Amino acid sequence: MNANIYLHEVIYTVPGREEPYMASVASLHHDPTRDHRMDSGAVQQFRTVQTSGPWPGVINIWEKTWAGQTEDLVGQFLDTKRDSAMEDWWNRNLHLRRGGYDRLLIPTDYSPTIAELAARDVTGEVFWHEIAWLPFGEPRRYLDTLGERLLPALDEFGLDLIGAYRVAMRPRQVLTIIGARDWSRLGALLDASTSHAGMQQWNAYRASTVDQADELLLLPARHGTLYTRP
Amino acid sequence: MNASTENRHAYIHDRITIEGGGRGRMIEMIRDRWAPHLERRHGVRLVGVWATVGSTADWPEVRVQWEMEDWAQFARAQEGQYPMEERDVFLTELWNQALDYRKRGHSMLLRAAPFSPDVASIAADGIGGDVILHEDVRSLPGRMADYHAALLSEYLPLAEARGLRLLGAYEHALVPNLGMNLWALRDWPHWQSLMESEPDDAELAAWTVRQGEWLADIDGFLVAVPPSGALRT
Repeated sequence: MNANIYLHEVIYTVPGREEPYMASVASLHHDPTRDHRMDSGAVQQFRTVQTSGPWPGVINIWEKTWAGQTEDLVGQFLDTKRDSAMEDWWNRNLHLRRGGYDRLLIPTDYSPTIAELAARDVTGEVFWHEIAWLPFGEPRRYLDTLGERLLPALDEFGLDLIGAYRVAMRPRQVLTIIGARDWSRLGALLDASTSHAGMQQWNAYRASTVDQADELLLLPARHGTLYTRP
Repeated sequence: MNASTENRHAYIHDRITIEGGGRGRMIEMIRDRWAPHLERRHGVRLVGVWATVGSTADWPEVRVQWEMEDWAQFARAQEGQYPMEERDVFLTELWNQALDYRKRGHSMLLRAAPFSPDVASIAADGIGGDVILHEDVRSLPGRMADYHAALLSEYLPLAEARGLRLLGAYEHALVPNLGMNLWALRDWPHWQSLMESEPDDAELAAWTVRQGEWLADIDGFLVAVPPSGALRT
């Protein structure tokens, strides 16, 4: 059971400034003046790769709780519990990013926490990130089906589930991230998608259910815990 | 709701993309100078000016909503403002000063659902809070009126039982099948409790599924009402 929530950010970085931006925003989580904030830190930061979907850009995913998220928003929008370090950071780093689009994610019970990913030594060279729009009422069923049908295939091909989520306040959306320890494993999964029985079954369900999907292939930030170090 | 209390006002909703760290200054400018000027000179009333809560949607962004008495007054107000260089020099100056904070936006002309409260009833009934749930609605073709009827008869009691108060329900006046809802939440802990209870709220889950009868999609996010001087980003 994963009792956390996740803050997912799509960042419109200044082209060429993806790595400096990721390091800069990560630095906030090492600021000792903000130690009291309720935050587990980053699941991972990623930058887009020019292989699928729009680029350039950055994706940040932070592990949080509703209480911690609420505290952050109180600090941002009310004049109490101000987060001055965040305000200073925000205004100091405008040259690295132009804006963004965020979502709050609710994990499935089987979606791993940061601690569980670390315990399994999960890392990846490339990550497959998907936001899918489903019919009303389908997202929970979709994620249950993903757990039953796709996860066994991921195990078979040596890929790792990084997260599977519903999106708070957006009842048609789900977001999933799959990690590949190297590109060849992702290639093998894609190659098998029309021939492997389990993948065929999963893809048939997906094709009959998903109204729209935004796909990205992502590279991990080099300072992140999911980055594969030599 | 009888015909005499039906909301027949016209509305403009502005979505303003903020440059850099100008969000707080843009909001203060609208509150302190832009809105009083538009009301005094053109009879345009401010419904609200809000900061989009970045953890839930686009950032940095400001949302503004204006109310006009009816479409005739909408036409007079627009005619009185544009072209602004000729007809309203103070508005021209505000517009140019605001270029430091924003360079583009996207606006919608809205028609209220009959049961949607207006500025006067919002004030009289004390509807408001620190946090507003904004919902962008896209109906199935031709189903917006049916959705609004269900919103009033089925969802409003559920929402009010959970402490939400309707601030507005609208349809786009020009683009078919687009709409927007605004709900006032008391404060941030109220939002936290709603989010924490959502996974086990069977009534809300049933409503979510039922919306598929009328809607193609609905996207919710938060906008906040920062107190003066609070927002420095």
